[in-house]
Amino acid sequence: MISGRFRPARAVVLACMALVCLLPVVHGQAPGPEAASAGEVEAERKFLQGLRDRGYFDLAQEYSESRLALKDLSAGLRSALAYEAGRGLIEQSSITADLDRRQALLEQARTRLTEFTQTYPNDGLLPEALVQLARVYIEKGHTALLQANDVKAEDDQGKPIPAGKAEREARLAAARASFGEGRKAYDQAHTRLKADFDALPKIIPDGDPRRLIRDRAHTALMNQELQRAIADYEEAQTYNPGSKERDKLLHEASRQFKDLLDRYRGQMAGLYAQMLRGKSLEEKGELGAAMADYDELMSHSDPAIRPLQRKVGHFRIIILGKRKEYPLAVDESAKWLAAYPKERNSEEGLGVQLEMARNLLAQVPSIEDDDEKDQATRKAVERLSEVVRLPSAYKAEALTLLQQNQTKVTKKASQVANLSFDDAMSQADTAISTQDWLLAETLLKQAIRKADLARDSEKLNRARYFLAYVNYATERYYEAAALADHLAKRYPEAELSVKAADLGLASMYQAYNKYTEVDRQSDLDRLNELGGYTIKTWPETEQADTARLTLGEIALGRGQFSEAATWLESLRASSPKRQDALVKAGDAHYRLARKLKEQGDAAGSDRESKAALELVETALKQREEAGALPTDAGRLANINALAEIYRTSGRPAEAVALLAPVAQGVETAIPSKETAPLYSAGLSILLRSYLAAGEPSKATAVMTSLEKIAPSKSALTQLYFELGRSLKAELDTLQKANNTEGYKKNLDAYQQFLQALASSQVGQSFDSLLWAGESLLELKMAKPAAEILEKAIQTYSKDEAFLKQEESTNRLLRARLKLVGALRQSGDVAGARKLVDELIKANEKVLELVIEKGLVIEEQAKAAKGIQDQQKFWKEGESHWLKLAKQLSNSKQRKLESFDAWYHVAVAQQGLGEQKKAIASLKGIITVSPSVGSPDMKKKYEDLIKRLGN
Amino acid sequence: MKNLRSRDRNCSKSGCVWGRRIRTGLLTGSTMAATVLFSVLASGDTIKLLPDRAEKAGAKQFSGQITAESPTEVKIKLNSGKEETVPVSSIDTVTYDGTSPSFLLAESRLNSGSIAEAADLFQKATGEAKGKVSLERAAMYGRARALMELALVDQAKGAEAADALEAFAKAHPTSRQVGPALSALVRLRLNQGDVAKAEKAVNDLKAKVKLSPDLAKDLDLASVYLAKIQAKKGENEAAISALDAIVAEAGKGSPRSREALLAKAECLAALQKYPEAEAAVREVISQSLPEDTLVQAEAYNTLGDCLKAAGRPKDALMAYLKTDILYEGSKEQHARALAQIVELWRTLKQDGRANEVQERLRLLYPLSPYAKTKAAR
Repeated sequence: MISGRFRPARAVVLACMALVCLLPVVHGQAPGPEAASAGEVEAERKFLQGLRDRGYFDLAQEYSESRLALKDLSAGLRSALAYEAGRGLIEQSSITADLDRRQALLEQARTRLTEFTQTYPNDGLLPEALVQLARVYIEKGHTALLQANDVKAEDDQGKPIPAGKAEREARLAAARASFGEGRKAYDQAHTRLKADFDALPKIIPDGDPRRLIRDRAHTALMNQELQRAIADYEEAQTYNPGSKERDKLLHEASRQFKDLLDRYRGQMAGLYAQMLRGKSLEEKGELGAAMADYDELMSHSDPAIRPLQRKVGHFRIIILGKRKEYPLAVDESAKWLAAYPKERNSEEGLGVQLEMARNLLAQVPSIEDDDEKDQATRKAVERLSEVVRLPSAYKAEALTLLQQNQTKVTKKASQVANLSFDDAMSQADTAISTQDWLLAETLLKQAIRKADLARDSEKLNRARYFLAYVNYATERYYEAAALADHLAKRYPEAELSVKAADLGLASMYQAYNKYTEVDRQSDLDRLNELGGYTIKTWPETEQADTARLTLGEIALGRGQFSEAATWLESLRASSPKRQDALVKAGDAHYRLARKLKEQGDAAGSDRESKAALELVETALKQREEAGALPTDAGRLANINALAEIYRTSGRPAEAVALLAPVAQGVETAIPSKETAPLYSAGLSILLRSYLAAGEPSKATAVMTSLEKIAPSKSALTQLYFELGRSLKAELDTLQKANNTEGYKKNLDAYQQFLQALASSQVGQSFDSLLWAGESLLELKMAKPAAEILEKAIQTYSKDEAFLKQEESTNRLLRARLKLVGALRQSGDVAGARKLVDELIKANEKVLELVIEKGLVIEEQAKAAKGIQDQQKFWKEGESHWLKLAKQLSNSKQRKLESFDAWYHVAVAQQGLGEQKKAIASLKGIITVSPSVGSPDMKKKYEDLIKRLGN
Repeated sequence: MKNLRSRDRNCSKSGCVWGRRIRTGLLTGSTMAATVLFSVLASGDTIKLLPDRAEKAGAKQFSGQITAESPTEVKIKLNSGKEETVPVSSIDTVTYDGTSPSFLLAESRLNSGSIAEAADLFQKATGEAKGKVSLERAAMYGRARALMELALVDQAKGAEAADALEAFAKAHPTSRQVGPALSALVRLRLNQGDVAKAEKAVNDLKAKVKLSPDLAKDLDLASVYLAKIQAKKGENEAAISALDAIVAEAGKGSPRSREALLAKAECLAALQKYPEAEAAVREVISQSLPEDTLVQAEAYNTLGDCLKAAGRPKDALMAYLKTDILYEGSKEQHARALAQIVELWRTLKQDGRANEVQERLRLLYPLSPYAKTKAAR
């Protein structure tokens, strides 16, 4: 329902971005940069703009920064460069396709421009900076809108995805907030621009240089007012069509546009306002009024407004389509495309092509002749194919239409066989865009057949490269790797070869993860080989950096920590993956440190720990200097790595200081699918850091946050399981070290985890349930232990997949045995006895069961109310243990169990009131075996003898 | 129609005089169209040179009247009146004046993969060319080529192909095509496992094609075939010694050196000396042009065999996949690769993938011996 809703908005924004370029922004009355350096300032700004016009945004930015770092820069130049640094980031963001990256750049631009307005409140560039600052907010709003559009809120069957819906709403809310900020910023700019304009005389004779200044001030003011109105229009796009909020905002926008039209009629700003009013009216459904505005605009003959008329032409076609005048809309589209042949691939041109396709398709159901139907669909598909080839606001919608209609255009084998290389490639390109992989493969193979092996190796290899891509996309990783390897190795000079190498690496990496059963080592060897080749052949490329990263990861996985660190630290400084690699290099050093510590090399371990810390800290510092957002995945991973180093090296407070803000972030924002695991990992580290810092209550609070962000209940269960196991390991370490205080603190948290794990309804596995049950039993929490063990037995004794697994019978027996123990400890001795008798019937030789039965009999004796009953059970117990003790007395492997059995014989005798006999039993054993198997057992014996009164 | 011209390929672009394989030729649709057009407009015979030879000769082709042909050279009287002698090893194709439409159609069918139909059309063209020696010879050789192609993917056609090749060699013992014909015959006999007949064909080849010592160094494949025959007899060590001597003598990257290295790799693999075998095949691969379908396809398959035997299933799979994806033009090798891929997917416990490739093998090469091997089942 919502798809495509934002399309008109984007068109209008682009239209107005063009307007910003048309209308020079005034410097105002103030002299601006120092008069003496005005020429120099203009030259610098022109140079920077020249760089940006040629696409060298990074270079322009570096240049500005390097100049700003100079101490002897004139004040005028410094302020101009400070302004340009912010403005350049906006420009750079406008050509950045990655929306997260775009947001990051806009955020940096916002910071820089805000700094500028605060540092240079009287600078001549201030009005321009204020307008640009407002533009930043509007662009941020746009980007958030596009991000919202990218979120999948419904599954393929059209059912809502709750998490997606929530994320979408969050993004839309962020977009609205940005538009709101944009409005405020425009208002702030308005005050200054109006003051500048009002300060100029109303009447200035021709030829007076102040006339130009006044005209510029007026233009800037008009521009600001127009942009302000656009903010409302834009915000309207964040609401569903027909909603009250949307209509209200559209109404307000059209009111403002009308006001501007009335005040600036005959001027460019007025004409744009009229166009935008028409657009607002159209979106409100007032098609007639909108068309009247458009018709009026089209009637102007001034060539200066041709660009505006081009946009209006596009909007007129949209109205014709909405009026269901499909043939007319198609004709108008064809005329538009003929009139502006160079604009076919511009944003508007693509919009017109989409309209043409849409209106052609709308006519198909009413066409009776099959050939004509096919022809119309084919034409529409051709148009849509053009649209999806280039990035634009229309691409998503065109892609959907293409996917729906492409298969209707029949592709018979004979048709494919007759295609030339170029036609096959062109159609394959479209098939790839629509992810029709089978068709793409057929077409690419046809293109390969048609390419001349000897003369067209470039063309042939292009087709092969795409075929490799199709193979990759369809998870035929070895096929993709074979092709990519050929291209990279046999045609190293060709343009696509370095990309082929990259694709080859990705394919081999995926193959390694997919075909795991046989010969995995060779996958890694091939990865290493192609990676090494890529680095050697194209050392100064991004692909070589990817290879370095891959080789580092392989070495890390193989436990070759030094080699891993070397590769990971070798990424070029300019690589966008550099910080990620540094964090991984830190991990390599950190693991090496642990290994050296285990080997007793304390100095080496310290050296490696220090290197790890330095690398991870450096990476984080570099990210922050580059303005990484708090929600940036790389930054989160970096923080986690650093915090883990702090935590494990006895600096939990520092870990907490790093992670506490991250935890706060979870309270205010919904993590994306990509960042949720990172937040989970961070919170887990935070939780353990709180425990280490002696703050268990805060650790418990972190659990609430974890529950909030877990992608699913099963993921949460798994997380608890892993966390619980690692806490248990820590508890054991504390106990071994006799750290009673630490042990007690951790024990509380551990118990909570076990209970949380036990109560998880989904995501359990047999192992997690058994582990939780056993662990609870160990902590004498018998009742919950019994519940969870029963759950495990009931669930998995009927689970066919589980029962097919190796050792499943023994694993179930173990769970049942533990359940007997849990029932016994929780006081359900009858239940315990019943179960253990059943189990022994089928497993009479299982020693653990026999021992458990003896323990149950003891509990029965203790729980029996009448003396007669008690005696009965003690007698049974004595006989049971005696039998066992005698059975085990000749076993060398079961000596300890034998001594324990004799101990229980004495306990039973005590129960029967035969103290002397009991003492004699114990002393008899001690005489024969003075150590009684172990010091603990001996103590047990001695204690009982004491209790028996000897 | 009078001016239609007969055209047959002499040998592979790898430049051998009587290359061990017969090329199908890879004429694209546009090339065919241009050929027909050229045939209609031009008159006389044309010898088109291999690209690397054309560069040396300073001309892409010679047009005029072919006056004499032998197993090693072709003489042509140019339209200018000048006489040229062209080594057979430099020739890409020869086009004769007065070719029948059946011959042209046969070429076209052969190139588009309709091999059985091509064989019939060449037969028809042979009848139509009665009395025109060059044309009749070209058509007869064309049929033998087609039958050989057919035999590569249909075992049952082996005898017919051998008969056709033998008949051609007997009928035209001094023709420029006798070398390729006898080479094909050797290969066919080896495939059939008939060592004695293979040996006879090699001896015929040696007797009928006398190369100058300079040419023999790089192009004489008879010595390689003899070593292969030794290997077939189980004398792998002796074969390796003979092949080593050939490699030492032949120019690096020459057809003779490549053939010898491939044969050596097979011998080494038979002796389970896998690393050495792999090194030999990899040398062939790197020395040959990446688009030399026939050489690369066989080399990658041999590499696959070595790697598979060495217990490296994924590396072997990658090698066979190269033949499958890059060199499917070599039908025999393609079928061989597909059969191995089926088996390797099964080794990797990917029955779905194995079944898929098996289906492709059955569809593309229903009569191929490889479709019936254990590997492909």
